[in-house]
Amino acid sequence: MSTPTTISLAGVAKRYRGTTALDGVDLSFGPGITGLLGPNGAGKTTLLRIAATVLAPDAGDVRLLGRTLRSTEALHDVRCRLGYLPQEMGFPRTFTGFGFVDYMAVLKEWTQRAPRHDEVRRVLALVDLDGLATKRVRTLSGGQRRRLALAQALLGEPSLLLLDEPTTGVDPEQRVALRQVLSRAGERSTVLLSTHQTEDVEALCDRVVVLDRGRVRFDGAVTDLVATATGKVWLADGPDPSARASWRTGTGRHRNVGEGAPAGAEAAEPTLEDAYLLLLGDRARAEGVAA
Amino acid sequence: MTLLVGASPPPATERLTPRTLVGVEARRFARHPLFLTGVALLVASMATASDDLDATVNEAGFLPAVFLGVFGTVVAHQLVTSMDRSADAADASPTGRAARTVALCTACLVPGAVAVAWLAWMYVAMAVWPVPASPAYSSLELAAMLTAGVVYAIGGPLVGVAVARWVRMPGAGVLAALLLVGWGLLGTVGLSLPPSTLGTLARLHAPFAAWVSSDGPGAELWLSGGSPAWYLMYVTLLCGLAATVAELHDTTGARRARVTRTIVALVVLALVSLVLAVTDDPTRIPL
Repeated sequence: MSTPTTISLAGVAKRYRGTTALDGVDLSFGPGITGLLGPNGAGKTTLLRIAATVLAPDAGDVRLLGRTLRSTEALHDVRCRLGYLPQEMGFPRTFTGFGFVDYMAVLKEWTQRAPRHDEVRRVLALVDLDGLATKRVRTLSGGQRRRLALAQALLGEPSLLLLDEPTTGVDPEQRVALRQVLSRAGERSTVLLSTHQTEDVEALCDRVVVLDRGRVRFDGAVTDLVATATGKVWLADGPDPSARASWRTGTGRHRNVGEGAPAGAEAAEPTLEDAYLLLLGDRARAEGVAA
Repeated sequence: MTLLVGASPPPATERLTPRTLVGVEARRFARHPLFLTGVALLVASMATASDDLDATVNEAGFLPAVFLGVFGTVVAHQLVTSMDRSADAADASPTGRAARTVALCTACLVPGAVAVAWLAWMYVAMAVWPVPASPAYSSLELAAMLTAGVVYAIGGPLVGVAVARWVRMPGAGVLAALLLVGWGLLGTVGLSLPPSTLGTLARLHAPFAAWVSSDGPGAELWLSGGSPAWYLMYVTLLCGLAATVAELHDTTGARRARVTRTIVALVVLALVSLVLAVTDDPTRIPL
């Protein structure tokens, strides 16, 4: 049985004042969690904003939940089933945590007060903020505010959940807790997770898309991307100058990510981060040769 | 595959504004500290006004214009811009920005409701402490002069919403309030001009009009010319204009064309009302 496509992007392009953010991207997503990786300016946020219906592409076709967004009704219906956590999100100064999520619930057309409040309490509990619901947002820490922003995206168990760096500023314990929430969401929804935290992608996603300069550099299973680094990660007594990346680990040995094994090196298990560095390193090398 | 080259931004949803959102925005307006300060100052002024009810009547809607209208401009502006930092999340919701603008404009009825209470208090006060009847104006004209206070209380906040939607500049709300005050003061220049249609126009084009003045301290008071009823119509239409201009910002397609036509119609009607207000007899009548 084929997996239903809930997000379909065909030839999607977007430019900002001469800078190409997305360059004819073709991607489709179905239920499950997909990680979006890429350096700053790769086009991840632009892709999510287009999928969240807050930004129109310059060219290309976008279909969400099987619908184009040309009619008001289609746009409305899609937005009813959409949860979006923007990369940067501020809050009105005077709102409490509960008040803010309640306001967003009203915008999401939860018009009945009692079920709306129940839903607000549910999502606040999911992100472990139920105890701080009555505190003013301005008194919350950065990580708590990030969790609050995530809570509004979770309202109504959306079919499409678009998360732009949800774990930024969140402490490790809370990150693990959020992984539980997101993994449960991924069982019933299409979740796009844009992040710089490769360990979050490794822990949560079965598929990863690597964007670079508005183009898709890799699209496949996380395990497939990790496999590209097999035999290219080494532990050695010193740094390898030819390696793509090299750093001293806590054990005193150097982890070298590159093609050749330094003298006396021992092969190490690659991680997604290693594979990601190698993928983007290939590009840098190719550009160096071309230059 | 369909290729959309140069696609326009996604259209705003054009459903009816949820009543719930209007209620939420109205509560936010009613709880705003600056609005509460304005209400407190208005109440304090009303409490002391019974000592000199003549002057209060003569000032017509000055108190609600300042404490509700001018303060409300800043309040409404802040309510709109407070969601700017959450704009992407809000824009991804089914309630479009145009609908949110309509809800915010409707919430501007909150200061209007307070001004209605002020108006009721004025009539109660005039009944309890009768003001000597003046031949200068009819009861209808007095009603028009006082009712303008309600319109001022709504109009200032509507301007705040419109400015917040169209002007992306820190402090734009305060600046808009100051410009409204400046425009109102400019209108008072007309009081110093000889009684004429031009002098009446100089006074009544402003969004706040003084009707009673004198030639100096201790001199006899007189009522300026012009029609209070048509002036009331003029400022009411200006309110509609502010709300419609605010709504125009995020409407698209056929609705945008409708809103634009409404704006043109409101401008024409406002100008007609102003002309009718200023072409009324400009003669000053001693009180």
